[in-house]
Amino acid sequence: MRPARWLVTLGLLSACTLPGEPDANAAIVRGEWEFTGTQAAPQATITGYLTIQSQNGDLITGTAGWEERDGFGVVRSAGGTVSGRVIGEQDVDFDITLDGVSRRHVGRIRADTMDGSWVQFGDGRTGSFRAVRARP
Amino acid sequence: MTLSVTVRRAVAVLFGAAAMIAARAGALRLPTVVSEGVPRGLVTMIVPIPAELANAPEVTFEVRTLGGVEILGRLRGPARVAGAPSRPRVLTLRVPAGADAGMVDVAEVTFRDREGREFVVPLQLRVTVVRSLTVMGTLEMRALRAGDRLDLPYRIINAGNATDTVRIVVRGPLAWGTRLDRDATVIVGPRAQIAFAVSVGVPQAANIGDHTLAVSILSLTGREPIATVYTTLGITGRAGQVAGVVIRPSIALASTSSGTATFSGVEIAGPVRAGVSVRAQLTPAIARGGMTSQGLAAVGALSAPFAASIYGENWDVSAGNTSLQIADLTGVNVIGRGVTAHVEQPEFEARAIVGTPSSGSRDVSGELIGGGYWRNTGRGRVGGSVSYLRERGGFGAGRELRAVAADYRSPVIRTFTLGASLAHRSTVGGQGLGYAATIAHERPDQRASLRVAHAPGGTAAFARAEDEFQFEASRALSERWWVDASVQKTTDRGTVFAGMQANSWSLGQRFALRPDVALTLRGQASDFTVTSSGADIGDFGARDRSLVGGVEWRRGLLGVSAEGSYGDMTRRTELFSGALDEAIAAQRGLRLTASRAFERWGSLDLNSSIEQTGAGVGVPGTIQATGARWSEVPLGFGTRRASFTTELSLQRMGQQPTTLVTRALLRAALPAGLDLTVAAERNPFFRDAQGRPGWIGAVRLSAATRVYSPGQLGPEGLVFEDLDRDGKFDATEPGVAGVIVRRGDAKAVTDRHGRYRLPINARGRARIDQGSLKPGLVAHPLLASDQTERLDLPVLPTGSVLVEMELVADESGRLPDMSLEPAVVMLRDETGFEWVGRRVGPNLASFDGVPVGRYTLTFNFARVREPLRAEDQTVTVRPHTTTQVRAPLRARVIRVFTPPARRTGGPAR
Repeated sequence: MRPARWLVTLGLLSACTLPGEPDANAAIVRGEWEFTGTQAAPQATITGYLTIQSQNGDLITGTAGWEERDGFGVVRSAGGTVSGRVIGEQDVDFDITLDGVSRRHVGRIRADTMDGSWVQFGDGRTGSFRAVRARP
Repeated sequence: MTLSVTVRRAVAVLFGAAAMIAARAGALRLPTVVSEGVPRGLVTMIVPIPAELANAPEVTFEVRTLGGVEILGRLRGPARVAGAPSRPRVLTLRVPAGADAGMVDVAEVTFRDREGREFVVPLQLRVTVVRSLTVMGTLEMRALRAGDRLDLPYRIINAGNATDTVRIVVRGPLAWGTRLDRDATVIVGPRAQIAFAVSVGVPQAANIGDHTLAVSILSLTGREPIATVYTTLGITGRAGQVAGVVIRPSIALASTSSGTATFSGVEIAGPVRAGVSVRAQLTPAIARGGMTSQGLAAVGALSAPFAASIYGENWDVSAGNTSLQIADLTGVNVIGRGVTAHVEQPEFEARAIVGTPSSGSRDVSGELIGGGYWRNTGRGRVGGSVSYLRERGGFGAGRELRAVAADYRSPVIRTFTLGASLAHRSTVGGQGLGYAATIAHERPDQRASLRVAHAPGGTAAFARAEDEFQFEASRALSERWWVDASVQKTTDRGTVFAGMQANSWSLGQRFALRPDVALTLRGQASDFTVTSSGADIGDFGARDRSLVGGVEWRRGLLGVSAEGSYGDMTRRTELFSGALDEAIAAQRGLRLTASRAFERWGSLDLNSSIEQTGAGVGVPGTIQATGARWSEVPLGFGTRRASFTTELSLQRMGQQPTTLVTRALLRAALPAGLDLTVAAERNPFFRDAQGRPGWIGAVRLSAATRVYSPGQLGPEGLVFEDLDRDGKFDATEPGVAGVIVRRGDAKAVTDRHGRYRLPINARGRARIDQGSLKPGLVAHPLLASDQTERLDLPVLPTGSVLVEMELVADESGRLPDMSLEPAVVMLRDETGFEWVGRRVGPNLASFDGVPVGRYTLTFNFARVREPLRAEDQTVTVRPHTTTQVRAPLRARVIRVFTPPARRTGGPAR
């Protein structure tokens, strides 16, 4: 098959839609959150924001950005898109994608606070996070 | 047809007609005889005996040459004797080798009879345009090293007889910096030559071997070179750094809607002696963070605590904030404040650290002490390491390790290498035996490696993981077909989770359909499981499986690839209720990338992707992303170096608004060694204190100063005023103070006696920074074409010349009426160098800063509406004065003729 036909075939495949079932009982987390966290090794602190811009059933999408201060005192800014799920009323599970690398966050929702841990697949970085609702 | 119409037509049709008016008393001028010839050629001209003398019994002739033209044969004598028939005189003349293109008065032939009647026939030669341009210069430069900067001299030689305007085009190897020392458009007079130099910067990443630099000249409208010289540049190694420490203070400012932040710091780097260099940075912490710190980082203004290193080719010692990898089983990712040392020689390797841990914001205490020594022998590499590492405070439970390890790695046995390590590790969780084993096999067409490691305590005890299994293999099935496979399994505990397991495998192939087209196909899967360490969250995990196929196409500097994937993803989450939530969704994607490197316009990278994921796993249905980056686009600001990089990326995730990130970065070298970096960015992920995204602007200015010790400096040189213009220093000639002399990247300023010293290992030709010379001085022109390295550099005092062109009447009294704007005015010195005058008025041309001396004033009237003549003039330029010169210009004589009558009437044209 010629390369052009490959591209057309792949394009048609990508145009198909896929099924799914949203959770209507999910906690509402849409809004602005103050986001803080730590990184275990190498040690670093994280201070920033988490914005859940849309929530469609259990599916949440948004953006996040923060400032990361590492053990050398070097400050870096980072930010990316957020996508994930709110499972029921207490569990949240979302990815923040930073320059193509996903960092998975799993936490508990307690009123206006989300607490949990994160792990970055690929390089094994881990840490904890806390998001406190700033405004809905 | 009236006479006036006839005259108009004659003037319009024939440029340079002749006069029939007597110019001398008693002599009648007849129509001019015109012939055409090339320089050095022989031209035969037939001069008829005037009709008025047709009945004269005896006629004599006399030829008077003009302008040094050589007439072959008799120049005077009887044209006709009594009774003989009337025959025209035939003259043969040699066109001078140096004849400019255009009309040249070559002679006058006077015919006389016995009664004293005289008739003068002017002879003119139309010299054919001969274009002969060539470029000459350095053909070969050997023993260069990556990182070198050099100036290569070239010259354009116009051996033709007309002024030409050409463009200089330099084509160097990709990513090499090349720069002309003058404008690319050059006017070269007839038989003149123009010298120029090409500055070449050999990149640090240049490959060892021969590279080609092509210097061409093109006409202003042409695409094909008129002439090209190819210079072979042979790279034999890396550049030795120029001795001397560079101190680079810098200041930066970032401005956003959150406010502004400033930065100041000093970087110190460079060799202090042969083989020993230092590097240090003093950059105080920035008070503000957020968007402003992002802006400062974009221009390279990174705030970091003090760190300094002294290092050589195979060793380094660092102090301040530092990090070290001691060994896999005795400590990796050891980061702290203290001192580290590392030596690696062919015979042995050693590493050591003494310090305390450091953290981002919280106080961390502890000790970081460790080291190792490994010796390379014919029987392999043998050694060991020991560590006492304790990191208390900070985040999590902290890290701790006391370990001692022994290592062995065999020499290559046929195609295999074996390695083994054994360690005793004492961690917070207890004591244990650590081990690592490797086996590697390598041949040109196949490669395989297996590694198994066990480090009790894992990342919580300064290891990469608690258990690791890695297998990688690749093999060429044919010259066009490669297959590869990998399996990885990692188990760890860390300080955040009770356990982490990661497993992955990959199996792929790459088949080259043609040398420039390849097909890839890969199956891959990964599985990640996290075991929670507390009640806050439960266990969670993920699994991805996909089949990826793609095609890659590359031709020259263009590469294009397309890749499609099909697979699924699974998410597992243990809920607060204890139930396990598991979702699986299909996933497919298409990615396109293209990259193109340009010889003169940097490189362009484009990418676009679309990914679709089924519902239930927390990923929006469709994610689209597009990006473009145009990087390192060279910009020309005179001879200064500057480059520009810009990029943008668009992303649309599900129903969310599209996010657009744009960045631009400009780097420019300014005069006086200053470097400027300007950045602008708009990034919706970075927000100000009010939560709004906005523009981030930043600028950084730095200045580099190199400091030398006396032992690093080479022999003393001198910049002197060359009073006798011979290019050589004479005892009576004074030195010139305050002149910047450069050689490669090194520079020196002359003292009050004109003396300077450059680093002993600076490479290239010493050259004078013209901008540092006082007004009224100029570098001697011979330096531009110097092939030799000289220490004593001559400069010449200069003066100015103002040339006023004036149209004057010719012998017939006719005053030409035309614009002199297109005339090119030139001064040519005794060595053939030419200066082209700057037009400062309709009839005025100015020469500023011309070295003192004697020049010949020359003109080129090729673009003037009517041919003109100018007498040769010598112009003497005196120091610091303006010499005014008046240049009378005369028209050539005009011959008017009446065309034959038309057969039919009609409107005159």
